[in-house]
Amino acid sequence: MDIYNLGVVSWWESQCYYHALAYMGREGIILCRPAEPYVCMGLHDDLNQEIDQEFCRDHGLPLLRRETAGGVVYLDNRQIFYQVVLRRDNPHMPIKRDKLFATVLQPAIDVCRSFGIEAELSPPADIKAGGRKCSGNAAGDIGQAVAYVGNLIIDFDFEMMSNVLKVPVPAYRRYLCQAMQDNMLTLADQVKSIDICEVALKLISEFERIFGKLEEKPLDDELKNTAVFLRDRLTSHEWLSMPGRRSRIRHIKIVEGLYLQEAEPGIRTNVPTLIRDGKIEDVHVIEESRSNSALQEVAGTSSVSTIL
Amino acid sequence: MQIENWQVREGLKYDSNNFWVEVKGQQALIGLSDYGQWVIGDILYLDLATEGVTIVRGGKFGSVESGKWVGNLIAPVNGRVLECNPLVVSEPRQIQVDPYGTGWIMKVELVSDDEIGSLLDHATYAELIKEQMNKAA
Repeated sequence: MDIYNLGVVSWWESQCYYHALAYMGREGIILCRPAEPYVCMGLHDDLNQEIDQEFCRDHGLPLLRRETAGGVVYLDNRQIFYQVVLRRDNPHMPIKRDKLFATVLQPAIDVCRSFGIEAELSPPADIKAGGRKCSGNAAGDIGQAVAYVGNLIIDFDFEMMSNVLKVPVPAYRRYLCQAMQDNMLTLADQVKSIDICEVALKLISEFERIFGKLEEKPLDDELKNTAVFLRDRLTSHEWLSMPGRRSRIRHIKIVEGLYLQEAEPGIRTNVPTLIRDGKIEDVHVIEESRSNSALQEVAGTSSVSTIL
Repeated sequence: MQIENWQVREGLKYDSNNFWVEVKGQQALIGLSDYGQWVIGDILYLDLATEGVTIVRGGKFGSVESGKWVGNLIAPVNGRVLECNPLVVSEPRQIQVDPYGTGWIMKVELVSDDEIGSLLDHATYAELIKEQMNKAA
């Protein structure tokens, strides 16, 4: 198996090389970080529903739609990406694709543990420690291959992430930001000083325990040219604007099993509601909805908070 | 007939990507087999080729999202899309509830009479499932 330990690459390169490997039918593992921040959508995300495009334009954040699952993410150089591309006929490939997450995420879990973080898989594809998400992951069939992609979150800009997402009312954004901070964990929260090159080397070592000796490869011309071709497609207006999954009630996934929903069904007012594993965990009454007796309507839920 | 936990309905044709095809004259209904829906897992979203579009056997006619994985739907026949099942578009989990009934995916007009010639009968498809399970064991 080939490994491409690329270090810092441009924002689009951080997505396009694994797509290129997959379309070329080549297996490999890529480790990289983007030099510039950007916003990455899942294959079925709806641009107009999910993203505050004006904010992205004003802040010079480019957009790319990847061909894997999952939702919108704000990405920058404080996250280390690992991208595993396997052909569909690889003996590691299970009948059910999501079963391989437990295998390909083990290196990231072991790296977290090497820093004293008690990380574990939260199926299907989150890594959590102490109930908080410290790594996001997704997969997709691309060409004749399957790509498993994810990141180790060294640090995270919660405010930028909450600004990138489209929200029903501005106050919702503050609660969104808070919910992410409460339910996500960064390596920087737990470790004083992190050598990113060392993290990459640890990941390589852990991937070798799964896939055997990895052969470090430079980017070749075929890979580079295919990536450039794919960049143009994955960032084109037509591709980004493809209609996607839309929901009647706006809900944003925070971590696996936890959603911030625009309102509890049946409540007419605009009340952000945190739903964990299908049950209401917290309801925030915000300035805009106070006049609608929202407190009375949500009486009986586990928690009612107010954001002013 | 029952193969382990999955029903393989007799009288339908199947392909190796776990789609069933029911032919009625020049038209065909396409859906995912019981085993196929299990392989994919909880289906969260379906994106299908729209009415009037020509689908090509072996080519992509849509995509499916399940958990944290997206996959391509590969057409079992050549045809022109007549209708996508609005029920599974709005509630994709219906495919899991009733894969051979209300969970049908698409109705197409077949390009030619011999479209189903290369498809598998239910007994051959059942053997394919058994083979896959043996390989995975």
